[in-house]
Amino acid sequence: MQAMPGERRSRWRWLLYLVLAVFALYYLLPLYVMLVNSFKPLEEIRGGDMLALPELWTVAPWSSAWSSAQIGVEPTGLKPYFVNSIAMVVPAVLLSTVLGALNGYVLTKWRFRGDGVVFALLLLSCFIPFQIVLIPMARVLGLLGLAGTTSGLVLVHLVYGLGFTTLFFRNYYAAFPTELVRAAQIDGASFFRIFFRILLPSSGPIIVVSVIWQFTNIWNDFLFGVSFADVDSLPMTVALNNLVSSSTGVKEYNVHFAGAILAALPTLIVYVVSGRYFVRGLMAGAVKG
Amino acid sequence: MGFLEIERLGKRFGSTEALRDISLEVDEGGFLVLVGPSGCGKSTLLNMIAGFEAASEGDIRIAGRSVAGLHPSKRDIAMVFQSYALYPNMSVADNIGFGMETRGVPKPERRKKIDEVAAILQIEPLLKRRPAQLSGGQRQRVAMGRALVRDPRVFLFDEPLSNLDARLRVDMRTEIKKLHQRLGTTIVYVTHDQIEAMTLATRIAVLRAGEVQQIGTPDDIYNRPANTFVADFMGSPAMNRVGGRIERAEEGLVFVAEGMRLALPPPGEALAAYEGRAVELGIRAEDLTDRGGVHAEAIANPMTKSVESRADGLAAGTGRLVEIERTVELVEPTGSDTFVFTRDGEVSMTARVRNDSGIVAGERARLVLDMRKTHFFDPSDGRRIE
Amino acid sequence: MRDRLRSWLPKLVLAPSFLLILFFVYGFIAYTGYLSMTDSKMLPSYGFVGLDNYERLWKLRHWTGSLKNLAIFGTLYILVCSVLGLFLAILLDQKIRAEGVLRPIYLYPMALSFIVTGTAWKWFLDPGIGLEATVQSWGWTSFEFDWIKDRDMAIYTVVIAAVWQSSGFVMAMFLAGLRGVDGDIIRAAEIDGASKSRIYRRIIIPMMRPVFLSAFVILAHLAIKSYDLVVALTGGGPGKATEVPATFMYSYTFSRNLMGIGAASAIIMLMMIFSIIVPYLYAELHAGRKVER
Repeated sequence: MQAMPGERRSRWRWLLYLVLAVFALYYLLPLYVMLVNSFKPLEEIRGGDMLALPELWTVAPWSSAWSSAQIGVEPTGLKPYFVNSIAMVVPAVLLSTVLGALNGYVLTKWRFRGDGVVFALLLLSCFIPFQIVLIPMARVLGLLGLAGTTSGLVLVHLVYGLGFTTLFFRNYYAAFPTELVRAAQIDGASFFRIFFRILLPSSGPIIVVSVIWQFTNIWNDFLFGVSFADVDSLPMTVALNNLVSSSTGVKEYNVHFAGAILAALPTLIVYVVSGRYFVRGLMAGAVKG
Repeated sequence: MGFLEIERLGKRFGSTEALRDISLEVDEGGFLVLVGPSGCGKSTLLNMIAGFEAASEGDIRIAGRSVAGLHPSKRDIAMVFQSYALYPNMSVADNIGFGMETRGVPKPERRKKIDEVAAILQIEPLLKRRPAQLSGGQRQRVAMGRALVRDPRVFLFDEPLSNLDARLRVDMRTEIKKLHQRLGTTIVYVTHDQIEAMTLATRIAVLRAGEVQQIGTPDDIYNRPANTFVADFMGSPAMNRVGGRIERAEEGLVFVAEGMRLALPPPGEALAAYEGRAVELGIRAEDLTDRGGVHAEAIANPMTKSVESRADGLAAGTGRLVEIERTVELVEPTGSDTFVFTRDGEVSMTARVRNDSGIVAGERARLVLDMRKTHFFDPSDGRRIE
Repeated sequence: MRDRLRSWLPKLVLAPSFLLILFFVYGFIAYTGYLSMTDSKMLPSYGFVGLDNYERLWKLRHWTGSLKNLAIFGTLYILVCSVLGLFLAILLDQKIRAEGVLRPIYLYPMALSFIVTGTAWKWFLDPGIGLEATVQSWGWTSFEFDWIKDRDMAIYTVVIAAVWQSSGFVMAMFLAGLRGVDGDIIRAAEIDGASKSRIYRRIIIPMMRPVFLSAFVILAHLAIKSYDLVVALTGGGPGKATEVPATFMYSYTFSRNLMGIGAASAIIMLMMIFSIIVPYLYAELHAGRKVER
């Protein structure tokens, strides 16, 4: 809304900023609490004031969370599971993005009878509750010999991410002038040449969106991880949950907080670096349907 | 209803100067058109009159009272936007009545006024519809209705016809003119289309890069352009401009350029000061035509002495009509006229000839030039030499 | 130009994805649907029992309880996120200089895993070391905030955590919607003398219906799928107080070895989501087609 000529910095303006600041606090508070308490020794946490800064700063909880905390039966810390997550996320993101791009290309520039149905089915697959596929997927992974492996998880995330990546690229390419493709066809360019030389170079923004979205969703996934992974392939999120929900022994809250932040770091960093595109991508998919 | 005064108005956006030292006046009931190319500041000026932008310098007065600092709703103005800006979720009737509703005017009175305005603009059957269900021309009328119902002192129009197709544009232009004549309202109208400016305005202000180039009646602007920019901008096709020199010859002052030598009809005192210097000749295409369109005896041969013209209303003395020969590059029939594009060396000229002139591309043609319609411009600053 | 290779190459390229989806999504749905009508317990078995599992499902208080929780949680989640999101969006729309800083702050929770969110809020809400303990340590010793351990109130803690996570995103959607309104319309309203609040109420907000609908669809879908958050925050407890269909399904299928019933519950979840999504997508695609043609 335009500020009218003559409107001064009134008292309402200060109130506005105050309200916004209060909400900023609301959103930041949990993160602050986790951070602050991850540097405290355990006695301080039990003392009571979770908002207070540490009297004694210590990084022991962090090193414990990373390399020595008890996760399940092994006292390995979160490191190996961090690696598992990376090994799972990278291929899944790459594959689903590439396939999504090709799908979007076909669906917008190479129309054929029934392509609406294909797109509708792909789109619908974005919304299914994953509980519905847990049982058969477990069986199929077993049959394929992929049960409990990272490759199995990659397959799972690939399949259930295809709907989203296809949606992103399809919406993006729909706005891309078809005349350019026709002109290239007149020049004799082939299907793939058109894709690699004309569409792909202009796809920067949507590739970023797709990668960020997939990375965030797959990294943060819990359900598939807890259902299909084994010790060798357990992703970070499941490991974190094991760490914090263990009912035996002393609850080392400070280690839990450090672990949670470690788990959140990759997606937070991705978000801070490229947050604008993150939101823009969600809008493109959601608002335009 | 009052009149509008703009006094030494200036506007800066950061370090960019959008408007500089603008002074204008519109009489009550006048129709002022602000015309100029994109980016010349005309929309900014309109927004400042409306109150959406504050002035960096200068003042705006409506009916003698300064409106500086007043909210748009308090300036007694109404505005028709380029995109119409109709409220999409309200019916046409509600759109028109929204302002009254906000002021608390009771429903029956609102109803009455809406019906009145709808009758004037012939949109009665549309009152219950939503904007999305209307055509471009209908939406435009509703936008005008919303402005009309405010009964303001000044109406502001921001390129209202740009979004319409060519045919509709001509129809709506006529409607706006009729409305103005019927209601006698004071109007400030922004457009980039010089034809709209010429047909609608009682006064035109030509703007360029934030400065007023010329203010005057359409006749002033068209026939006595203050500088080359105004001369080029108004009129289609653009005015022909030929660079040359003024020289003194035995018959008096002559203008000399590539392939032409024109005796200048006296009195030429203003031009005498340019003797021996470079000037630019300006002549519109319609004043350069084929021989068959004029009386043969009235034409003087430019290469020899001038001939006395016949006493039938033509200017006494020498060479009102002068013949020149040009090489024709292209002939373009438009239906009602034919345009001939000539090129001799560096000099191009456009002439408007009759359809049966017989002029053919690639040949030389003899064209007749009306010296009374020539303008001369100083090449250093583009100003017209009076 | 349309030789035979050209006409089936695109389809060939699309085929792997299509087949994958067909099998892994729709095939699996069918399989689970079929299972829901068998006597599967720990492992799939194929003794057909018709709608038996469904009957047993609806008799289970555990199930109806989880549905009730979903209703409470879902409604509050959608309402509070929408209201809060709209409120913040309108505030941010007032040409705030700090918008570049504030918007990422409101949005960052979205980037976190629900497990992380659940962990953070679990401790925040824990009476022993969280808010209650902190406020008491400041001197207000009678302050109580043990909703997370309270059977009746625990579900509301899930709302609090979920709203924290998603309201920023809703705000971003609404802000984009607000900004999508043509500036001239607002100026026209200003000429008409409308106050800011009237402009929002009568003009801008009614124009935002499509965005509201999108937000509703996304939030509803997230609410029904909610699993991670509940697991991390309360584990479904205390007791079954925060059990939702998603956690119900998991526990009945994998822990309690009543796969048939678990499958049935999954099918019900699917139907709930589809009843919202399918009409929405149909309307969107249909409108999109009309524009394209």
